[in-house]
Amino acid sequence: MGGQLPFNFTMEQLQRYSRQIILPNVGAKRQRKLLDSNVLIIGAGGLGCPAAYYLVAAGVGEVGIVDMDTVDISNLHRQILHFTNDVGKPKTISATEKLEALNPDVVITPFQERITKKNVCQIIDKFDFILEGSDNFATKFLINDACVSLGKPFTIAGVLRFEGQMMTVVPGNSNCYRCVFPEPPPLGTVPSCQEAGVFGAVTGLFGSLQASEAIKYLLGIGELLTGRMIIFDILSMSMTIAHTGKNRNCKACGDSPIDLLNSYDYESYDVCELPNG
Amino acid sequence: MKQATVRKVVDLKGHQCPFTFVLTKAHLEEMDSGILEVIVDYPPSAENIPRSVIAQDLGKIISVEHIEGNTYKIIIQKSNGIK
Repeated sequence: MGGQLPFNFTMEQLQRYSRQIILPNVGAKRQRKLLDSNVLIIGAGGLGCPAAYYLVAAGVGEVGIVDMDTVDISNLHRQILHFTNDVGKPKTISATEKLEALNPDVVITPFQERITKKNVCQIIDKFDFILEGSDNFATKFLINDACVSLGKPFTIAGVLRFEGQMMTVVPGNSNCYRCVFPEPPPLGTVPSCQEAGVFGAVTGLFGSLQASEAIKYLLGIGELLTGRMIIFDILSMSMTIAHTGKNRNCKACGDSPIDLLNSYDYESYDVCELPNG
Repeated sequence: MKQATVRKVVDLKGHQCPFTFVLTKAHLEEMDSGILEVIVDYPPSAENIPRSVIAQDLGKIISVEHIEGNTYKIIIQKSNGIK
């Protein structure tokens, strides 16, 4: 076939994304939009690995990954981008190697560092959508507060044992994580990583849901999981969708928000309490 | 002065379903309006492309013409406002 292909695609790209382009709600124009978009993933763990895989496979143009940990053998039953011979390797490097091999169209930007209130705004600022998949409440609240402050849409999930929960936030249009959970749970009230355990496939389920929220947002299709929280227990196969509302007293997005990034003590919650990382 | 209708011809010989529709869809999406002529030599595409174009509301099928052997020409009208 002679001539230039539509939207500056190569033939290989049209073939790679053909099953996506063929979808009525996607098409070539939106596929191009996806290739021009970027997403930041917080945590290359149980949630971040499947999320990254689907975002990269779908052709999101740039995927940033923040994680300071190295691969441990106990991660491998759920963190699907890391393999046995990656044990001891930084997770960002392990993930980048797999993702670059999966789809050379996509730029992978690793951040091998801890995300803190000092660097959070600088790291998330350039990204269109943030996918929070960390293993601790300090980071979850930090990402919520930073995203609300900068007006960044994000999806946030947590997984424990056989259950997971997730919501999406579009600042200005929906309630935030802190509207639902004003403060992290008191230390010691949630089991630690080592105690609680996690069923690997649950992280895959929620990581995939998070990826689909990111892609839907970038493409402008469907309905996001805003104003709602999904809670899924795979042991009983029961799903609850809890409707959430704006909390006028929310410190992040209520009637009188405060400058949390400069005043909140995230570090006091800086322990691994959710085994999804 | 009446504006000339854009007419674009794409030769998809050598491709099969569903990729012939993927390429047709991409070309139609890129056009604002006008006529797209699609040449295929995979006979099922002569049925599948028109059906999918209609199902996805991508344009109006003007004609499907058998040229020779396995070769067909599908003429599609893309109108303003159609996605």
